[in-house]
Amino acid sequence: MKTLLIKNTDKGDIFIENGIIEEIGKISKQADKIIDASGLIVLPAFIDLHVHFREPGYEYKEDIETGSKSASFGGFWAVCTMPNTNPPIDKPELVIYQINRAREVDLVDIFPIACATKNREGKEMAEYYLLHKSGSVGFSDDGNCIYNTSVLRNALIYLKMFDLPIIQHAEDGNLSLNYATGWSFDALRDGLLGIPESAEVSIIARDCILALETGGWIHFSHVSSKLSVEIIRLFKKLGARITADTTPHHLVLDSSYIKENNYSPNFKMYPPLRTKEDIESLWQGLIDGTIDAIASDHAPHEFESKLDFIESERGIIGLQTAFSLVYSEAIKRGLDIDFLIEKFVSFPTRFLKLRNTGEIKKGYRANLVLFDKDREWIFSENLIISKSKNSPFINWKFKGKVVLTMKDGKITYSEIE
Amino acid sequence: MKWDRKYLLSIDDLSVEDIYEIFQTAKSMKEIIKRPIKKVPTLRGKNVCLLFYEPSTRTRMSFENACKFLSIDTISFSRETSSLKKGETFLDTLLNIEKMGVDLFVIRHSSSGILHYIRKFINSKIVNGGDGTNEHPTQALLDGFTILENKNRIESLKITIVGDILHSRVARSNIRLFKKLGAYIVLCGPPTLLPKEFENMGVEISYNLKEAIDNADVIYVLRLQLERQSSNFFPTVREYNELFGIKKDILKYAKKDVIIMHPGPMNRGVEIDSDVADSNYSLILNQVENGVAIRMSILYYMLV
Repeated sequence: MKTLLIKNTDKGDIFIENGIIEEIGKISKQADKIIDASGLIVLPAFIDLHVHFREPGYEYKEDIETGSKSASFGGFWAVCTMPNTNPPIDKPELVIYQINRAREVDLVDIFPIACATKNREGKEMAEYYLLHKSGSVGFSDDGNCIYNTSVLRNALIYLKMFDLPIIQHAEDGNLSLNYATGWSFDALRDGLLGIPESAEVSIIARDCILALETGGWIHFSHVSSKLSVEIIRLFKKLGARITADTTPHHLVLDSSYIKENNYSPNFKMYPPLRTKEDIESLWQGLIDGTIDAIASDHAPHEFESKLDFIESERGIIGLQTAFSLVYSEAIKRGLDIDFLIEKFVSFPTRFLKLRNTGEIKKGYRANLVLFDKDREWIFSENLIISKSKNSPFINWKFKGKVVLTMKDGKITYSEIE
Repeated sequence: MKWDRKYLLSIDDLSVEDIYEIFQTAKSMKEIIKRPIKKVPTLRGKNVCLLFYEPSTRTRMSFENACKFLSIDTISFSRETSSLKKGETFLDTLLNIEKMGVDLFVIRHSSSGILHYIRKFINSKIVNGGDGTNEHPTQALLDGFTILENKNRIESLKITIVGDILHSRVARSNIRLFKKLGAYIVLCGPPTLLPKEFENMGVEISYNLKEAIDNADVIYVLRLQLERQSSNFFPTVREYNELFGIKKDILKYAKKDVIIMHPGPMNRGVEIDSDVADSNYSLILNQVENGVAIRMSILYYMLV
């Protein structure tokens, strides 16, 4: 029997036994380990619905161990990994491999997203039931858009049997071409041909119609544009089964950052950076519930592939900065931490249909974070745990820091003692 | 902002005073070019690397001669003969060449902004010889110099830039330069190649050539990349020429002493007709001549 006592949190003392919260309040019991959390607040640990851990196949960018460590640093106890690995995760054995690797590393739980179509080719449905039975929680060709309307429509209908989502990467490649940022005046002035908003929105609109017609569940990941938010809002109101997330960086950065940062490829991702108006719209969507979650889209790429803004790989790392970045911005906007917990914990917990986690309650799994909401810190390059350093937020100053992360009572990250 | 003389990546690197200083010195440089012995020892012992990742005749030869007239030694590099094919990164190429004793790089590259990004990794000075669809500052300077030479001022002139603004680094640098020097700028081209957002640069936008060149002092014709047709920016070259080609009979809408400019190389009969290109209105060859003088002036300030 292993016991742990966290003293003096904002919710009192918390007694944990075998990874389960046993008691909350004023506790004077002894424990194997005692943590003094004076001045800290306790939060349920976070879940990231969209990360790339690159294993198997691209271990030079990231692997399940370094990805897990980054997640623990950021306060996450669980992540959903995207299937665009090599080979892509379109077979049950690969799902099992990822879950087992995460168990070996033993820092975060991985809930793999498997391919929506075989080999991510957009042609034939993957083996949804067999993949789900092995542990997959949703299906996506992330990085590729599922273009074929008939394939997607059948997938949505078929998946109703299991109440599982298709996670769409909404991108019309005829419009995005090889462009590196969103269409805006800033981009045009700075010599960058932009991807129009319609590259995302036209797919989202089409898919909303399919979701409404079929009753199937579609989840839009990394929603980035104003019109996307409006269309999702409309179709949710019409009763379609739609859920959506956006990323921390799309809530903060617009395309004017690119030139200001000397065209650093760390400001290139898909969806691309857009305008201040889009940022406002995303926040509004989060507030009114149109956007359900915030997910990092942690996408590690090695230095050599991030040298040239136009030609470079798309994507940035984000697990270590996700919560602090959004928290720093949210408090400026007068939003409270409960609002963020809905987006980082409660919704993802429901999305994954998990029980006995996501709240600080007796009998719940001790997936917890100790958070210092006043601490100011700088995300210097040497803090990066990921194998790749492609963050646009290097040397940014944040307010609020996770100082301890715990998964099932095990401390996975700590700055205490 | 005063020019640091380490980088010329954008017209924004220069103040108005810097620009006129460059023009002033270019005047003296032009005089050197006309001498029977076209060489001054000013920058003897300096080494410049011309690094062209995109095809270029004019700009590259212009820089090469500018260097020679100032006694600068040059080494050069083109995509075809590089180790790029073996997969060396652009940055590694720069780091290697820099170690060979280079003081300044003149770089043309197809990626907008790449020089802004890589400069922190190397010590050498850098002149932008054209980066993607972003900027081509030495072209803008030679254009400004050419206008000044002919009109004795740039302030309050009406300059109409015609063509594919969207993909043009020349247009972006020229808009910046002409704005800085107080000209009134009109952009003209098909809407697919001239997004309305350009208005925010403080210019007028027109989709009608006659209106756009009405009372113009300068018509600046951009080169049309013929492959834009296959990307569906316009239906045919023939239709483009009909709508936006500069023809003799349209010049009557402009000022009597209008001047015609083009950065080259021209597609005769597409964006400009021969009877305009070869007319007295045309300063196209003066631009080429001034290009060498302007580049000498820039190299002088950056290397002296």
